[in-house]
Amino acid sequence: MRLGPFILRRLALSIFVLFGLSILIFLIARVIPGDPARMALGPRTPVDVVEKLRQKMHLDKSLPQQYGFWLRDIITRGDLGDSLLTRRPVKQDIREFFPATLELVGLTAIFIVVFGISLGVISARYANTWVDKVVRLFSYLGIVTPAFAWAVILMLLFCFVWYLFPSYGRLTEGVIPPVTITGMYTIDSLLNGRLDLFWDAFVHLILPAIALALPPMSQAARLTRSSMADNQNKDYIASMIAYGVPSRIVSRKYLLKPSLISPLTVMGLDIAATFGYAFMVEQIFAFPGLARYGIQVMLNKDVNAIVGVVMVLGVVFIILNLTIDILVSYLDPRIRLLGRSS
Amino acid sequence: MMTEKMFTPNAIENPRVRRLDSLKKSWYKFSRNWLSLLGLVIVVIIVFLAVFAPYVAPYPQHAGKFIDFKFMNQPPSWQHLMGTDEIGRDVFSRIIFAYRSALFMAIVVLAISVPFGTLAGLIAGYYSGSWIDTVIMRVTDVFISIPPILLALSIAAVLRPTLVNTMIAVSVSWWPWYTRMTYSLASSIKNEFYVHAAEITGASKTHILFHEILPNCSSSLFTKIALDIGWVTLVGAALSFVGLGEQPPKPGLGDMISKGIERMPAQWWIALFPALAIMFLVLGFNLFGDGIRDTLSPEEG
Repeated sequence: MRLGPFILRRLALSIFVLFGLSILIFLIARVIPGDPARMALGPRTPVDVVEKLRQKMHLDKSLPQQYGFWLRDIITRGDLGDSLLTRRPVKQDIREFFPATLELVGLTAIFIVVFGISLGVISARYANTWVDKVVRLFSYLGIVTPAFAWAVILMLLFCFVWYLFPSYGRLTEGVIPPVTITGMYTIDSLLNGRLDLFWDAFVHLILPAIALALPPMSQAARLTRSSMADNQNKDYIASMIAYGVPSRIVSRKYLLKPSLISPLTVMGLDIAATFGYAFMVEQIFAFPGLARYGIQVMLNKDVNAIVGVVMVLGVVFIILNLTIDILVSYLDPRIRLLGRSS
Repeated sequence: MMTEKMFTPNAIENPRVRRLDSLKKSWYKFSRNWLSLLGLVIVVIIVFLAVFAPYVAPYPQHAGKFIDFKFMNQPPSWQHLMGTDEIGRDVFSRIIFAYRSALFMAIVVLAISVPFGTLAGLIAGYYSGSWIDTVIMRVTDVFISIPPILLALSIAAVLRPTLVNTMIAVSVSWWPWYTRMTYSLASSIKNEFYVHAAEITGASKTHILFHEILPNCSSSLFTKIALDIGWVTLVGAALSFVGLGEQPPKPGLGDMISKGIERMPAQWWIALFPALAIMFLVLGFNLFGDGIRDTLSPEEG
């Protein structure tokens, strides 16, 4: 199978999963005890007004019909209803909070990929020397310490023992955010040509991003090391060396490329999972992102907003998985040719 | 046959002795790695603390409703090893009791999700290629496509935020991983000759699933369970962080951290020690789980 049809097939599968996800979320939202219309209007609203809203929200129809209307609104208008907590359309809330989380997870992903792979490569290259041992010990500690524990430790060290980084928010208090283009402060400030703002936003991102990146980064380093160590002993590497292929080409093209397959898959899953873990780190650093918003709406049983947040994160998760599958199939032609996605 | 039997020592024929022998061998293999031993020690300490919490905690009454403003916000000292929190409760005692509910939660979650997930995976794997496989594995895909924390959060939020509901929520998000693992194992094991042999001799499906295929998944399963105790605790702490799980005044590790953050940096011990406690627990179960994997896996090639 060529790359094109392979991508198409994966895309079709993703849409199928997305469809299943929407049913699941819809069901979760509907099993919440209590009448959504009554909850939206409050206990003192007259019955006929509530009844009108029930009709408007299609709550008087059967469950499959409700699902149909609900899905139609999302697809045609991106309409997820109003949030009970903020009294604004959920769409607007998500548009405000999602870029912050995207920015944070984006920087986290860069840390994971860059440091994860390079630490793994260094560790494999200097296998069984002290460098390797230090990296391995460090990565073990990294894996077993959850992101929120790192957040507490990093905050204590770098915000309060040494005053190197700010401990809360997206920008220093009182600083006016850049004109909204993407909603991501770092990118917006660059587009506005405001380097000072960029630096301010960036400094606020560093510690939360490191806290989020440390566990998956360590995982990536360990996997890269072990899969490089496995491949190093394969016959084709020995024959490459015997043929006199320069060692730099051997290690970069023939050793690193196949060795990256399993770390990449895991990194993709980890980056996607970061969206889930982000809420604690966002909470600790008082970072106004989607994950933090998600917690607030969940605790307030704000059904529409819960559905919106879970849906957005689910879509991101599926897109990331798709990207990883395509990347992996590029690195490993066997998957493509046999038409199997692991 | 007779002559052969004469040369084999009696001990090997005795199944009990043989089991003891293999146990000894496993222990030897396990104890060769000092990291696995360290893991075992940590696990034993944590289990001991959790089981005997009311007897080993210096201030057992601090795990419940207790207020003592005279001793609030005390830094770590010999009297309060990890200091006291904002209403004068001993942080160390509360951590010990939090371990108790954390381990309890891990056991319940795994007791629900492991049998269910494994059974689904076994069936899907044995019938791989048929519609049963497709249905089970696509449903699994949907559950896996939502980050586990998020799924658990939304379920726990919909239900009441009690410990029991949190356990249900985490179990719902946990089983698919066992299904995936058992599926991939079972779908390859079913092509082994001994499975075919059992099929030909007319063994029942239950016999094949549970006596031929399942035992061959067991080493992977045990390893994953040992590792997962740490990870379930972690998810539990994450949920308790936002107020889902063990309800105050009972202590939860995540709850202690989220309350402690508000006291940073002046009373740093309230947040730091519970964070380190989680680290200690996950480290212990990880080292222990890795040790079990190395012990159960066949000789390295």
